[in-house]
Amino acid sequence: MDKQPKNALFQLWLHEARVVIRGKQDLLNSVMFFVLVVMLFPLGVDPGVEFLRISSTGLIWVAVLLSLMLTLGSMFKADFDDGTIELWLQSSHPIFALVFVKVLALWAISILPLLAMVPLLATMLHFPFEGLGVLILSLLLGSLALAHIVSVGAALTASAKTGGILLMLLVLPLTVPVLIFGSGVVGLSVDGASISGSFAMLGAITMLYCVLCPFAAGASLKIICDV
Amino acid sequence: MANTKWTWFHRFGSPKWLYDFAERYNGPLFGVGCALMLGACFWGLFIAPPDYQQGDSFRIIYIHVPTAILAQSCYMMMAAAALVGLVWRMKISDYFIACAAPIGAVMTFLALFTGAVWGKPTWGTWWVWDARLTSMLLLLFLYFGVIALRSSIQSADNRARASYVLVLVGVINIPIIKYSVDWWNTLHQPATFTLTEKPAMPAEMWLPLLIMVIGIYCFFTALVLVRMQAEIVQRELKTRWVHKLLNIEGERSNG
Repeated sequence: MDKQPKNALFQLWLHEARVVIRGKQDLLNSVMFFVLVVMLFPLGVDPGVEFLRISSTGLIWVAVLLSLMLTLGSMFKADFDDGTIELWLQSSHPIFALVFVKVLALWAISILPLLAMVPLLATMLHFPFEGLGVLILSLLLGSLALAHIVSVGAALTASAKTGGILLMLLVLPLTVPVLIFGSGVVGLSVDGASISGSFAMLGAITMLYCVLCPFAAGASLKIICDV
Repeated sequence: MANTKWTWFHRFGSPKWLYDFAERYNGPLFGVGCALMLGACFWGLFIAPPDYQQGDSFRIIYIHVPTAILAQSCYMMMAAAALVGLVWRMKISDYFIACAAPIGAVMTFLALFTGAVWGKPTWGTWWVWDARLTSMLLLLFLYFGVIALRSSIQSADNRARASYVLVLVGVINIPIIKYSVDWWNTLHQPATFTLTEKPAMPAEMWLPLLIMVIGIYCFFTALVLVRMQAEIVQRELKTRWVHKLLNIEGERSNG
């Protein structure tokens, strides 16, 4: 890793991805949580086809959002406890680059099982089949922004003893734009309207968070490590 | 030359100077603020003419608009303080955020509450998922987030810097949230309720409002100054001047 510093970031990506894949149970848990949250709505609100068809996009989006918050919310906790973060701060790589790579790795692996469940849940919620591609694309793009937003909250709460609910309180208001454009794009496509404009907006928001959030998360990690 | 220009700025960085400043001005500011607010209330409630459409119910504007303006600008002030604190490491920034965040949250709540009370007679409903209402609700949660984060961190220095980061992240997000909520509202809700296009208000209607806004800013400043005095004494307890200050007051109460 030291000999080829350019490769180090790729190695970090591989390492982080491997850690996520090997924590199989956590991945499974997030998928089960996702399905359970979606299941609560037909049970609690209305199992009728009409209601489900209208609300399926929003339900799936909100459920993905919540389940990503829960899985990624503690992304820096173990690294903080065992001193990895301190080593990151000592390394020759800037902290934002390391954060960026870690978020990319976690996002790429943990979104996949959720996306795999989307077609199944969409069918159960009577989501119109033609919109499925757009739904998955919007989730893929939007979840990258969500992962970056969560990284800021996760960095701020990595040293706190009870992080979970605090993290939700810090992060959920910031996820609103992603949710609005993400589910909005799907709504437009189901209605048969042109989606290119809103899709571009979703992409722009995602890029913005990709650029800004690693800096904020890096600054937060410095703070909790007293640097 | 450069020195004299910046001394006011450095003085603000000194807790002792700020304490004395607050001691001198919070009383008058409080008095002026209360007088202006009471006067504007009286003017607005009893003297200003009723609205030709909304009748007397429009008078809640004299509470609603000032609290809403203060709720928004309080976050901006916190963001400015956070930037100053992050760049120049001024402790005062942290004290300001600690004292202003709860007031901002209360103002946001008041704006939402008075809005709901106003909405019932004019729109026929307590709450609409309108863009402005929703972004105010999100602002309330941004305030709550700052307060919650601060209460979760023990170390004073970490708490200060963490809240700077959070406040700045919030302030960068506010325009994005606002834009996206506007977009969402126009997409999903084709103007069921709009504030009726306001005719230009006559002066006897907007003058009390303006006085109310000035009054509430004075009141807010006085409140923040008093709270900051308490915060300064608490946090600078180890310094000599606070010892001296407390001892002198102790002797007075003894004698």
